[in-house]
Amino acid sequence: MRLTDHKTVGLQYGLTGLFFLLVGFMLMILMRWQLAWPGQPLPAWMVPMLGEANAPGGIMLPEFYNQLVAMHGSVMVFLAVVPLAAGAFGNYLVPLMIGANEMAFPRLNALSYWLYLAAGLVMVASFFVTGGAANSGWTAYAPLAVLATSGQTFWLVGIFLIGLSSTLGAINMLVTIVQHRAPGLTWVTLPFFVWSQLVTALLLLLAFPALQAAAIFQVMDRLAGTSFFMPSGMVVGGVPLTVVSGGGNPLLWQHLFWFLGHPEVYVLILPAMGIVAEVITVNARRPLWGYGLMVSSVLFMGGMSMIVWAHHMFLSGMGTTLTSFFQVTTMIISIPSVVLVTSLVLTLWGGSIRFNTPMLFALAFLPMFGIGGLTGLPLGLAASDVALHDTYYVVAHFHYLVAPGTVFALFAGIYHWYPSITGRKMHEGLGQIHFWGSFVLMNAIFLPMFAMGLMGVNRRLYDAGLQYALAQPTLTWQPYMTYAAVALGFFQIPFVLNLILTARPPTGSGTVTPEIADIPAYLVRPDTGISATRLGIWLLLASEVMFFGALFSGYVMLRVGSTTWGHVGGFPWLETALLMGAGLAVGRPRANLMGANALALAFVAVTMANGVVMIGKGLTPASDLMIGSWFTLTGVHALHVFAGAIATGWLAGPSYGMAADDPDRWASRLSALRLYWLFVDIVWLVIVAGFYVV
Amino acid sequence: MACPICGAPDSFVIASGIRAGALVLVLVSAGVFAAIARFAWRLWTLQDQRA
Repeated sequence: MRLTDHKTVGLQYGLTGLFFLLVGFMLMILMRWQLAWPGQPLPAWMVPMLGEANAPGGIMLPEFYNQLVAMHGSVMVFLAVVPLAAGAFGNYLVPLMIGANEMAFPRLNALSYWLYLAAGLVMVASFFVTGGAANSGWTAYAPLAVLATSGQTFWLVGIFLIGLSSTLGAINMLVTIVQHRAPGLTWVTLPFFVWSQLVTALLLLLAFPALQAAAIFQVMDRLAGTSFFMPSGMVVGGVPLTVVSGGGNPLLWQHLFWFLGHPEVYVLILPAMGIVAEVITVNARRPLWGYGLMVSSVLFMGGMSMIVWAHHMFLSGMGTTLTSFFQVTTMIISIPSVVLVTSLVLTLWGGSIRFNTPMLFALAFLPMFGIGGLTGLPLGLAASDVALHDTYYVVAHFHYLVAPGTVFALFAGIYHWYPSITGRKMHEGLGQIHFWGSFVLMNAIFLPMFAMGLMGVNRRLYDAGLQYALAQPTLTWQPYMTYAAVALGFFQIPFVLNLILTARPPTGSGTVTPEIADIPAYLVRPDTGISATRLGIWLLLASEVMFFGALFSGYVMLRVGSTTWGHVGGFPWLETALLMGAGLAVGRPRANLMGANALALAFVAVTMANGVVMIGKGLTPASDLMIGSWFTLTGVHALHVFAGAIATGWLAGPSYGMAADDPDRWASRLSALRLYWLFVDIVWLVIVAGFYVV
Repeated sequence: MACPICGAPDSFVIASGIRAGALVLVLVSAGVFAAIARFAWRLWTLQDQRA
């Protein structure tokens, strides 16, 4: 077993994702227990696990409940469902479906898994630090999150690592699909599942950098005292907050978070659609109805998902212009969702349907996704969102999409492809028990939440609304929902047993191992006109453009929204000359590469010296927004220059032997490095324009 | 007019900043999507050329 093999990486993602699914589920059980019996002691066996600090006398503290809320959402979305849907199914199946031997960059693929695991461990470890885990919701809204306990910093580090993992995974997936398709597999014959993974990868590649940029801003606010998200005149606990300079904008976090957050919804949904399409076509024994329409729909949906983000922010008072824009785009994006579900239902028409376990899960996905989708429409209209926002209605809506929606699709996929992995089918009887129990109980948990939300009961209340008259009738429902949640846990036992009892080491039987020689990464594939290396670097730069675009959008938002904004003063002639020199020097001769490396390192040293001089003058990141922005943007850019210097040094050193032994391969690396330096130079010029010229 | 006590700019200025920042994000996304669409078109036109 090789750790870089796509099947191994897929299984690693799968098993780790299932583990985090269990972690997220256990956090949910604790939350449900608290909601059912608020203010009452937890069962004696639970208390030692939580500790006296979180549950003195067995009674859960509100602060700990907040940690459960934040971490349940974060674990489920970032560590369980997305890694299962994209990492596990994508890595295992896409190369097999397109007739490729391996992913385009196998070592990068393994690295993306280990980064994901590290992110998960960092996030979960935060439960054991002083103050506990993140407690500002999975959305980590500022300024609450900026003032939160140290667990929030762990959360931010975890998110940044997941972003890195997702970017590497997405580049790999996209390059693999474009460059490693078997001859004859054209775009119009590509399996729909592969299309769904392609669009998912595109969304991860382009949307995640915005949250990484936001995470950097928030880390700076928390650790360096900047005020990106901290407005002027804040009063905390009745005391004016004087330790920050202020002038920041909490809405900046919301914009950057939801720029990832909404496409992330489609990252959760699209792979599920791909899985369900495969399971339905096999078990209805009919080809997919409206293949072209479905592919067009996922492409359209992927594109539109990037411009609907602010429908999560109607109550932020962003003004009628933006509200109208995001309302219209939200209504438009609902159309391809309907097309997808309709096409899947029509695929069943006239089919000879097998009602086995995977098919039951896939069939259940359709109405569950339908309920989740249709109940989202009132939230996409600003007028009705005013009443429904932040109520249990929202909780019910997105859980219908993700829990009996995507998670059911994942179960369908596991039951469907299990024989291809192990050579054995899972036990049908246990599968049926698992399905029917899960189907009934999921609805028992989430359906009442629609009514609770319509009655106005707020989400995130640690006592389920004990203090509110409008919530009184719903308090009696809570224990039943908790019983259903516990029973749901018991109905997962047949699934775990099924996995264990039928598991055998992967045999390879049932799978077709293609024997197609992949084109080497540095050679141009005639029907794409590009090499894998060059496509990979272009995709990396696309995500970098989004990353710096998000950082600059924050800069513009704060600068235009401020009445006082100074200038750094002077002009960075030396830094500009060093960096441009480094970019221009990159060339084939070894001396050129070494020169570029030296110039780049000199640039980093001068930038750091500048920072030290400014701090010496009393101009720290905490001084004001302009100085804070300068430190942040030049710091992030300098890190990119440093990375470029390492790559250049590597090309001049350990890799230089390849220039003679395998010149084409080495030339492709040099070409990729040139593109990178061009990008880093352009970013520097934009920074100079923003801080020294305009 | 900025708040005379805490120096916070008025809501019009803040809203202008939000619009400008969101516009930058939309424009950058549009640029990247245009580049991807151009590449996709090239893939579509080249797909009949076999190795």
